[in-house]
Amino acid sequence: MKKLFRLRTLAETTAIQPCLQWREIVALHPEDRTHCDEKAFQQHITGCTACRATAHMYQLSDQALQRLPLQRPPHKVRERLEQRLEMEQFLNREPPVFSQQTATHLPFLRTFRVTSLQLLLHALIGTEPAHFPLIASAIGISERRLKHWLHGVSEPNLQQVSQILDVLSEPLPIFQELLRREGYGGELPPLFPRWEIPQSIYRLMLEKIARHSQKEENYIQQIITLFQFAVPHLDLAQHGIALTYAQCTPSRDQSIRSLFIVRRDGQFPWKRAIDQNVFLGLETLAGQSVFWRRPLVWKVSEGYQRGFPSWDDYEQSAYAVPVQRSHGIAGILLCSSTNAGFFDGHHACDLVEEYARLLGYCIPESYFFSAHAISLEEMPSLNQQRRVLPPLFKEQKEKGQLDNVCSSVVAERRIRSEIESILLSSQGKQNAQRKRIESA
Amino acid sequence: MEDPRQKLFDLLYERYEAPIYTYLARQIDDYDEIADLFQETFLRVWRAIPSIPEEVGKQRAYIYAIASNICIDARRKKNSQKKLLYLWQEQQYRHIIGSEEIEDNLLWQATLQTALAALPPRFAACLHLYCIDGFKQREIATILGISEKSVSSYLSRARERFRQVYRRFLEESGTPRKREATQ
Repeated sequence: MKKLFRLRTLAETTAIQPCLQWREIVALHPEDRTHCDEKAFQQHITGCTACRATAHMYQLSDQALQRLPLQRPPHKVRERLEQRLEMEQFLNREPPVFSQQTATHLPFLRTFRVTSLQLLLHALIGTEPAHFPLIASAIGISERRLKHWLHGVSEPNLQQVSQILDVLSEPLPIFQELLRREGYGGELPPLFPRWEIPQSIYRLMLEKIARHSQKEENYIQQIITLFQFAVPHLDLAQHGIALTYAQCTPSRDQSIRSLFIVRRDGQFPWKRAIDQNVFLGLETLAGQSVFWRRPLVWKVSEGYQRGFPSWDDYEQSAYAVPVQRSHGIAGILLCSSTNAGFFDGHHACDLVEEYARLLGYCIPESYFFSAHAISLEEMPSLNQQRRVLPPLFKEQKEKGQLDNVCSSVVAERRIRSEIESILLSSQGKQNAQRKRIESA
Repeated sequence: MEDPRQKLFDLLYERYEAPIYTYLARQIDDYDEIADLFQETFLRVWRAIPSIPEEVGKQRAYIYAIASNICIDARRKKNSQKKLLYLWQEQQYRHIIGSEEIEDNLLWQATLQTALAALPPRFAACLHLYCIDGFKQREIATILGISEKSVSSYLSRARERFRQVYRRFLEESGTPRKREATQ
C-alpha cells in the first residue's frame, strides 16, 4: 500500500508547479545549492505551498529511483567483450620487425611493415580490386563490407580473419608464418594448409559449378576462377609457376588428334593469360600424359631431352595430370615451374592432382571423351603455330560468321577442328619432306 | 607477471560492470543495443586506460562520461523515445512473479524505468546521474561536457518531464489505480 501511495502522490502532484524563479533551485539537492540560495529557499518555502510540495515530491521521486534494482550484463556480453579486447590487442601491437634473413629471402617484405589489420588487408587484397567479388563471395560477405574493412570503416572479427586467411592463398601463408615467427600471430588461426586446397575454395568452386551447371560455356570462367586461386597457392615462394589447361579437341570424325590450350595463367617470370589458342600434339609432355592416361613429370636436371616444345626460357620442371572421369578424359592440367626440384617430393604433385580433380568438376560432361577416341598426332612447333594461327583463326571466324547456322560453342569447335586439320596436314607435309631428305 | 593494464581494466570492470550496465539499460529499450553499448563503453575504457585518472572519484566520472557519450549518441541516432515494455522487467523477475506484492513492486519499477527511458537523452542522463548515481552538479557538468548552470536547467526540466511522463504511463497502464480501487 505504501508503494501505491507513493505512486499516486508522485502522479497527482503533477499539477503542482514550483515558482518560476525557484524552479532550478528546487531541483537541486540542498548540498548543491549555495549557502545564500539555500537560506533564501528555506525562507521562501515557509510561505509557498507549491514549492514545498515540489521539493517533497522530488525527494520522493529520488528515493523511488534509488530503489530501482541494479542490473548485471548477461554472461555472453562479457565473453563478446573479451573477444573484442583480444582483437583490440592484436590490432594495436607493435609492428613486427622482420629479420634480415627473412627480408632477403622475400624481397617484398623489405618495404612492408604491418601496423594494423587494415594495412595488412590493404597489402594483401587492396591492390587487386578484381578479386574483391571473389574474396567476398568466398568469405560469405558482401563486397561492400570487404571495402569497409579495407577503408577501416569496420573490422572483421577473429572468425572472419580466419576465413580471410583461408581464402587468400597469396601471399598470406607467408605472412602468417612470418607473423607467427616474429611473435605477432599468437591469436591467429592455424597455419594455412600448405599442400591442401582450402575448404573455402572447394566450397566456392562447387557453388559456382552448381549455379552454372546449365550453361556449358561458363566452364571457362570457372577454370579462370580456379586458376586465380591455384597459381598463387602453388607458388607460395614466388619462384614462378604457370598452370595450363589444354582440352581434347575432337576432329570431324570425333577422334582426338591434339590438345587445345584454353587457359594458361602464370606468375612472374611468366605473364598472365599467355599462349592461349595453341595446339599440343603427341610430342609434348601433355600429349604423352593423355596418351598414357597418367600423370607425368619432367625436369631439366635429369638431363632428359625435352619431349615437348619449350614455352620459354624459364621452365625447369613440369607436371602433367590428365583431367578425367571414370568414363573418359577431358584434357590435361599442366603445371610448369622455374624450380627444377619443385616436383621432387610428392606434396606438389599431390596438390596439382587435387586441383586437376577439382578442375574436372568444372568441365561439362560433353567435353569428356573415351580413351578409344584418342589418337594424338604430332603438331607443328609452338613458334610456327604462333606465327600462323592468328590469321588462320581470323579467317575461320569470318567464315563461321558467314555460315551463321550454329551456336558459338559449336562454331568454335568447328573452327578449331578446321585449323587442326590444316596444321596436321602442314606437319604431315613437313615430316614427309624430312623423311625424303633423310633417305636421300 | 600480470599486465598492469589488464589488471587495472579488470578492477574497473568489476567495480563498474553493474552500475554502467544499469545506467545504459535504464535509457535504452533494446537488449542487444544495451549489450553493444556496454561493450563499446568498456572497449573505450580499455583504449583510455593510459589516460584514466588514478583517483577513484575521477575514474568513476571518467567512465560515466564515456558511457553517457555513447548512450546519448545512440539515442540521438535512434531519434525516437520508445516505450519500454513491461515484459522487459517481467523477464528479469520471471522467477519471482506470483506474489501480488512482488507484482506491484515490478509494476512500480517498470513504470519508473519506462518514464526514465522516455525522457530525452540529455535529460535522462542528467536525472540518472544526479538522482540514482549520486553525482554532484559539477561532476555531471564534467561528465556531460556542459556548464553547471546547464546541469541545473536540464535537471529541473528533466524532473518536470519525468513527472509528466510518469503520470502519462501510469494513466495508460491504469493497473495500480484499478488494483487500489478493487481493494
